[in-house]
Parts: sequence; structure tokens; C-alpha cells
Amino acid sequence: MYIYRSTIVTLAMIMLPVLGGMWTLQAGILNISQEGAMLMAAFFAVLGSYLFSSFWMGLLFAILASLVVNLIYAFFCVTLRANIWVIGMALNILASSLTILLLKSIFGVKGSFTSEKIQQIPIVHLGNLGPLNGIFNDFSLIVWITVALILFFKYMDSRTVFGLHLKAAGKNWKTLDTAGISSSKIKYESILINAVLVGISGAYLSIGYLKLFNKDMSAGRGWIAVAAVIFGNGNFAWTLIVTITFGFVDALGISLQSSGLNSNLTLMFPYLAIIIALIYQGVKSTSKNED
Amino acid sequence: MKERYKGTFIIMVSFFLSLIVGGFLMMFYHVSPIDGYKEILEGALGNKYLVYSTLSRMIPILLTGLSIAISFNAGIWNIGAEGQLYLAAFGVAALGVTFHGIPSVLYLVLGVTTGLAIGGLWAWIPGYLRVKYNVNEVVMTIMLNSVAVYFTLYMTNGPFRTSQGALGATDVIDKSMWFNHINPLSNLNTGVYVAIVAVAVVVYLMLFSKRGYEWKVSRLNPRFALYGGVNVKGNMLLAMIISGMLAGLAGTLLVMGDYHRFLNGISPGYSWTGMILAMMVNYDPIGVIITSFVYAVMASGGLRLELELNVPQELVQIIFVLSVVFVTAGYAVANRVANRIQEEG
Amino acid sequence: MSEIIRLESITKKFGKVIAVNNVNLSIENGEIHSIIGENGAGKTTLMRLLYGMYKLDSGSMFLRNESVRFSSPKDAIENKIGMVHQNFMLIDDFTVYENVVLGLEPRKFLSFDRTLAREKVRKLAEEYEMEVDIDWLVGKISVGLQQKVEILKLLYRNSNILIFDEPTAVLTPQESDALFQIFQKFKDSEKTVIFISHKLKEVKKVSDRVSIMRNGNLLKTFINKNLSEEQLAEMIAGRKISKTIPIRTKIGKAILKTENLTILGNKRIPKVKKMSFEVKSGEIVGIAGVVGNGQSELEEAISGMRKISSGKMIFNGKDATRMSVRERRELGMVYIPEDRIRTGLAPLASIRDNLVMGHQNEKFFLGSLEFIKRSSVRAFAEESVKSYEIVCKSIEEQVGTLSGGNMQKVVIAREFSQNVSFLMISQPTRGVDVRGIEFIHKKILDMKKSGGAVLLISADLDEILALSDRILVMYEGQIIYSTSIQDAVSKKIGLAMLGIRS
Repeated sequence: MYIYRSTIVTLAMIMLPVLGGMWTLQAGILNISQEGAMLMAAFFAVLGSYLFSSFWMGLLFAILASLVVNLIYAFFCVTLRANIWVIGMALNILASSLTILLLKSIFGVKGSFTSEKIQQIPIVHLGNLGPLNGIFNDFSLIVWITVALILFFKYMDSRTVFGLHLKAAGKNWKTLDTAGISSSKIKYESILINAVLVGISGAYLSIGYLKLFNKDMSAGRGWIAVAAVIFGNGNFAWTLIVTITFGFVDALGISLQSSGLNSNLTLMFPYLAIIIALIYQGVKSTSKNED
Repeated sequence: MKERYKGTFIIMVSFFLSLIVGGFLMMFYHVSPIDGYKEILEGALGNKYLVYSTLSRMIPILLTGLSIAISFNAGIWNIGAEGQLYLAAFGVAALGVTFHGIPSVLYLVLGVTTGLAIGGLWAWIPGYLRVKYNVNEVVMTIMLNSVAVYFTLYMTNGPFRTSQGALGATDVIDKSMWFNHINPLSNLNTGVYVAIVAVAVVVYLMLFSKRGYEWKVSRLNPRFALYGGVNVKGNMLLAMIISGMLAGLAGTLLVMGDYHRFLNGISPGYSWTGMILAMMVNYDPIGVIITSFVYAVMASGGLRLELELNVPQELVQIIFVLSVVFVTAGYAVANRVANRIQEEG
Repeated sequence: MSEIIRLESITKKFGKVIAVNNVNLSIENGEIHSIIGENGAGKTTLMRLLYGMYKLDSGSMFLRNESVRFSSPKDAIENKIGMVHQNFMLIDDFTVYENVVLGLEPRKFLSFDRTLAREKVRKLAEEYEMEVDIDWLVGKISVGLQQKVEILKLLYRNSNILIFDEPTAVLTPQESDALFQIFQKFKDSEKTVIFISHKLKEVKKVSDRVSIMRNGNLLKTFINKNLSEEQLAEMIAGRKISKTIPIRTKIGKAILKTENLTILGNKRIPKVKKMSFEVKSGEIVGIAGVVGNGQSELEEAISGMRKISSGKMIFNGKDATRMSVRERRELGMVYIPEDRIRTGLAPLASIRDNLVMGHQNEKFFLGSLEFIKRSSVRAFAEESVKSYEIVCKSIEEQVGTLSGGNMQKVVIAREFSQNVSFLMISQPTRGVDVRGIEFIHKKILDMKKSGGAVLLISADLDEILALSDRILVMYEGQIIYSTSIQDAVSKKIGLAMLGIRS
């Protein structure tokens, strides 16, 4: 049960950027700036929540911060058609130094900030569910939002005209353009949806279970999401499977720590899991496709 | 304007623009930009010892910058320089605390070779997976970064934990493995000569050799290079390995020249800085040499800026990232015509 | 008849290249209007302006005497203009019906109403007697059917001005005839057809009126009946065209020989199956066939860019099955690929870097320690630019900023600057202007005269017939028919291209 709950907690952090990344990948854009957007969102969630003592304001600030990062990314990738890796890496590095700078200038601290004035995102208590208590009760609001968003994504993607256009923009944007639908507009929309999702996940990171911002606290979670999206390559089920596996291995590592294994070793597990998954996928698809 | 100056022009304008933005940011801290930049220059180049310090600060940035430049320029994205640096640095330190009584010259050669080998090998893994199985090297190197960092963290808290105090570090390495300080008042040490040789090799490879030409064309259009008889995959892998060796060398010199031990925070993100610089100059090695010097000046001065005028030193990094953003935009606009043709066919 | 479209003083530039220069054109309702001209004459650009894909630099457009200004294809579609592009605008992973309705989907609230979409498309296909299974993935159907999907798209949108950009380039003679019958049907239902082509015969056959473009200018519009094919040809090129005369040469020993060549495509499916053929010195062998029947895979495999999965290839007496591109080049192989811009050039690299590719291992350019001899490279590049009359500012200029014709010259200059015993050339006339065609044809014949071997791969049957000594027809990865030029009958070849053996 402990592993289950801690898997869910980890999953909630990376599932939203994974979903967002899937949106943009459908539209043909691999979003490299997830890590940076998440970090910025985490900082601004703390700022918003601190200033107004309201988690709503924290969420709002987080989403706005993520929107800014994603808009810059969209402008460079879609409008200027610049190299995604260059601008993505630049934004990630910018987020890292900008949050440290803001931490120093606004709160006057180095590395880490916490305060009682910060309001956490509430935990949903569903009343007494008996044996189901452990499974459904007392998760953060974000967990439920995530579940709703996964279903929403699935519907949008496979049933709606928007989903069709999204895929068309990704597979052959010129065709979509000549059909009278602006592929750039679709791509921007997908990136903006991603921005909202990543914004929420950033807020969850800093004010979900904590009331704290640490420098570089996203700690590669944005990259895990990018890895899962690359792994899934547009396949909804595979993307979810690798994400869930990651969450599980992460939880497993934490629980192994209590049985005496060095924490630095167990921290390596989820990354090794991703590495093995990617190698497996590469070997498998190369034996199927001509290199 | 002549074609070949176009790039230089874009970079100069972008850097100037970001200096202006940086100036505005200083004004938020009630510091006049002129005072701020003057303080930076004085803090970095004010006297001989400060110059030495600045140069010694430049070396790891220069090496990681070239590491990134050589791989990005060849169309393979080694984001793993940080991990290569960490692992090589740790490997060298492990060697240095384990063996004693080896003659200094031999030990220095052994140390550098070990660092190069570990860095190269750690880069070979994602490189090989990329060319052989088409595994995305960016994600792979980032994952390998985390593995390398946690691994060294484990080692310094476990088997190689120092006996002197509880800091996350190894013991001090054998003295005969040290690169001696050139000047007692700064960290600049004889390791700089190794760095100079490495830089010369990279400049030759990238700018004057056939390989460099093939790398560049492979990045601009891999299919065209293949058509022209270039061994695109072999070249990519080679670039990746050299890239890893340079990052490894950066770590090696930090251990053998600066700290004489491995410690957990040995790189405050040198490879990210190196990446910014390499991207800013569009992977030109001469450009990396120049910008890493400029960066070292501003970073050294940035410390002073924070101490004296209370402006966070991260401002310096932000200025450079903004340059990259402007340069990227500049190139995107400048290459628009050429890109259009590629897209429409 | 009444005028439906009028273009006045239309100009469009790309960078410094003037693609369309001060064009005036009037098109009448219900006519089949052909626009003919060399490649690069500006036909496609003009049509893309009319379809809203490009914005006008200057000039004005009138539709049924009303001034219009299109900023995107959407505006054109709303005005009932439809276009079938030269490279089809279809999504391979979508089904036929999804492709047809894309952009104008029937909806049920937010959802995409697939049932209604399928129903509508099925009806339309029946009405125009097109035998297309609407649930197939577009990527899996033949080029001829794909074109029908394109036409269905126009019909679905109720377009009554239909632009066809080089629609016959990828079709067999029989398929082309079927297309022209559809044109007539459109005409009967008072739709206007704009037909772009550089094939004189076709234009003569179907048009009511013909407009001629050259170098971005629209020269004149004629009534088709009043003009002979020869007159038309001269006006297109602006001078008399010398027809290539076939020459007899002594045919020698085999330069290239393949035995049971099998090559896998990108999806690991065999695209070339057990192909055996020879190309002898002094001989031009033409491979005819509808695009997508394994020609690209064959070319890539012969050049060394793609692995040969089984079978054997002998080149100049040596087993070349496993040779690298470089080894094959050093043995005297030259390959001019179909997609000269994406395969044959690096648009973002300089002219100099593009010219030296493939030669970088030659002694002339390579010093000791693998140093590149910069002065030799420079001299070679300057010389090539001069002798091939490549119009550019300097050899440092990016190739991608040159005009299409000049880009082609860079490829040709590079490839013909080395010793050649075997030339493989794919779709030689695609994207090349008439002077370029003449030059390439002359080079091909020179090769033949000097005892070289040529493998010519083209979807254009006329070109194959004009140059080849022997013709092989490729269908689904196999040689389905072969003939010497003396016995060649174009109808038989056309049928073979469709997979019908006679």
C-alpha cells in the first residue's frame, strides 16, 4: 500500500508534463522546455501562494509562468522554425538561473525558501470508504485533476475534429495548411495546452505536499516526461506504461531505502529504468526497421 | 555584407543587446549599469592575480564548451558532458587515492589518460546506441548524467568517503599526481598546458581537417553527406567520443590541478555554461575560446558584483542565455530563404 | 462565356529571385485553360498565389469581376477554388475519407462525425465513378488512386475552379487519358479547369486555351486550335530546339550487373525483389515505371546509401554488394538523385562546401594529416562557378538562397567533375529548365559515346523513349517487361507500368 500511494504521488508530478508533451508531439513538436517550465511554475506557485496566502493564486501564477516559457518556445519553434534543442536547452538553463536570481532578490535567500504563509493545494478527503480508504482517499486535488485530464485527453485525441487536426499538423502540416486550417495555430494551441498542464505540475511540485521552493527542484522530472514521450512516440498506451513504470520504480527505490539500501543508489533506479526502456525500444525497432 | 561575417555580426549584436538587457536588470537592484560593468571588469582583470584566477576559471568552461561544440557541430547532441565530467573526475581521484609511489611524470600521464578514457567511454555508450539503434541521445545522456551524479554521490558517501571530516568528498590524491600551481595566489596550474594542447587539437579537427568539413555538412544535411560518401555514423560516434574526452579532461584537471580530490559539487554546472557558449557562437571553436574568456571575466566579476553591489551573480548567466536566444532568432531570420527551399523542395 | 478570373500585374519575389513578374491573365468560366512553360518559369508560383498559399507582392486579383485578396488557402477554398498539387497534399497515415474531409469535417458537437463523413465521401466517389475504398490508408494505395483522392477533395469542397499542377507527371499514359476524361466531365458541368504542364502533347490534346510562361513572365494566351505543337515548343524555350538525335555506339562489356537484387524499404518490406539486369558500356538503359514501385530503393542501393539485403551487385568487374558509397564513387560511379535539393545539396551550407562534397578524399584537396587544402578548394569552386555560369554573390553564399536552376547547376558541376564510368540519373528533367535539360541530355549522350554506361530512371515515358537503348519496366519491385528501343511500343510499356503484361 505504501508503494502504491507513493507511486501515485510521483506519477502525479510527471503525468501532466507527459500528457502535455503528448499533445505537442501529436502536433509534431517535441517539447524540450518541460524542465524549465516546470521549475519556473514551481517557483511562481510558491510566490503566488505566499503573496496571497491562497493556493489558487499559486496555481494561477504557476500556469502564467509556464505559459510564458511555452510561448517563447512556441514562437521559436513554430514561427521562427529554430532548432528545438537549442532553444529548449537555453530556456531550461534560463529557468535554473532565473529562479535562483529571483529567490535571492525577492526572498533574500540562497537555495531554498519556505514560509508558513504559503498555502498548500488541498488534499481531498472523500469520507470513510472502508477498505478503499487507502486506494482513493487523501490524495492531493492535483491527483484527481490529473485523472480527469487523462480522460479528457483521450477523448479529445481520438474523437474530436481538433484531435484530427492535431495529428494532421504533426504528420504533414503542409497538407493541413492547404486544407485551409492553419497548422501554426494548431501547434500554438497544443503548446498552450501543454503550458497549462506543466504549470499545474510545477505547482504540485512546490505547494502540493510541501510549502517550499528549492533551487533546481524539478530535478530532471521534466526530462523524465520528455523521455516517456519520446519512448511512447505518440502511442497513448505505451507512454502511460513507461510513465507508470517510472513512478513505480521510484516508489520502490524509496521503500528499499528503509530496508537499508543506500539512498543514492536507489535514486539511480528510475533513471536506469528509463535507460533500459529506451535501449529495449531502440533494439526492438531497429530489428524491425531498416536503419 | 560579406557572407562569412554574417554570423559574427549576428553574435556581436545579440551579445550587445543582452548586455543592454543585463544593464536594465542591474537597475532593478539600484545599480547603474556603468558601475556594474565596471565592477565586473575590475573584479576579473583588476590585477595580475585576478587575471590568473579568471584564466583558471576559464579552463573548465572552455573545455566543456568545446566538448559541446564538437558534438553539436557533428549533429549529435551530447547533453551528457556534466556526467562525463563527474565520472572522469571521480575516476581520476579514485586512482589518485588508491595508488602511491608512482613517479610524478608517469602518474600525471596516467591520470590524464584515465580521465580521457572514462569521459570518452561514458559518451560512447549513448553515441553507440544512437548510431546503432537510433536511441535518442539527448534523453539518454541526460539520464546518464543523473546516474553518474548519483553514483559519485554514493561513492563519496560510501567506499571512497574521506577520512578527514564529513564533507561529501574523497581523500586528497597522491601529491605526485598534482598539477602544480603556477602562482601561489591563484588556482592556475600546469594543467593549463594540457588544456592548450587539447584546444589546439580541437581547432585543427574542426576547422582545418577533412573530418571537420564532414562533420559540419553531416549536421546541415545528413542525407547529403551520406550521398557524398561520408561515413556519417562513424563520424558521429567519433565526435561523441572526443566530446566525452574533453568533458572528462575538464573534470580531470579540476581534480589534479584545482581541488586535488573529488567532491560532490565539483562542477557548478560547467557543461551547461559550456553549452550556452557553444550554441551562442554556432559551434565555432575559435568563438568558444573567445566567449569562454568573456564569460570567465563576467563570472569572476559577477562574484564581486554580488559581494559589493548585491546583484546576484546569476545575472551573468542570464545575460549569456539571452544572447543565445537572440542569436537563435537572428539565424532563424537570416536563414529563412535557404530554409524555405529545403522545406518546399 | 464570361470571365471568371482576372489577374492584373501580379508580381512575386523570393529574396532576390523574381518568380512571377507582372503577370496579366484572364480565365473564362467553364474552359480548360493550360499554362505551359519550362520548369522554373513561374507556373506553380502563379497558381499558389491564386490558391492563397503565397501573398502577392503587388498586383490584383479579380474573381467574377470582384477584387479579392487571399491571405491563406482558406480564403481560396471559400471562393470555391481547389488545387491538386504536384506533390500530393495527403496524409499517408489517414484513411481516404479522413483525407477528403480534412478541414471541413462534419461534426456532432465537438466530436468528429465519422459516419456522416464516410457516407458523404462514398456518395461522391460513386457519382464520379471512382473505384476507391474509402477506408484504406492513403499511404497504401497507388499514386493513380491518390490523385483520385485529391480530386475527391476538390469535389467535396464543391470547388468550381480546379487547378491541376503537373498532374500527369506521375501517371501512365492510360491513367493520363482517364484524367483527361474527368477534365471533360468537369467542363460539362461548367467547372473551370486550369491545367499546368510542360508536356506539349497533352496540352494540345485537352486545352481550350493555352498561356505560355517564360522566366516568370506570361508571354501570351492563345486559342489552342490556332497553334501547332512546334510553334508552341519554340515559344516556350524562346528559340529553336534541337532534338536529341539517337547515336549508335559500340556496346561493350557490362559495367553494372545485378543478380537477384533484393532491397528492403523503410518499413522492412521488400521494395525490390530479385532484380537482375545489366548496364553495358556505351549503353543507356532506361527504367520506366510509376513512382513508388521500388525505383528509389533501387537507386539508393546501387549508390550505396541503402543496404542490399540479398543478391549480388558487380560494378566494374568487382563485387560491390557491400561497398560503401565512397568506394563506389572512387570506382567511377556518379549518381544524380531525383531529389537534388534534399539529397544532392545541403541548402544551409556554402556553395563551396556543396561543390567539394564527394571529392574531399581526392589528393588534389587533401593534404597530409587530413588537412584540407583550402586554396585548392577555393580555386576549384571558383572555377566551377565560372564554367557552369552559377549566378551567385560569392562561393561563400548559402546554396539554399540560389534560384532553383542555379542549385541544379551546383549538383551537376560537382558530379560531372570526376572521372565517370557509370552514371545513374533519376528523373533528370524534374525541376530543370530547358537549357539544363539540353545540357544533361548532352552529358548523357557524351557518356555513352565515350563508352560509359548510363542507368536512367524516370517516370516520364517520353524521356525514356527519347534516350534509352533498352527499356526495363519496373512494377512492384520487379522487372515486368523489357524491350529494346527498336521494338518499343509506348502503349505496351504504359500497360506494363500498370502491371499488365501483354
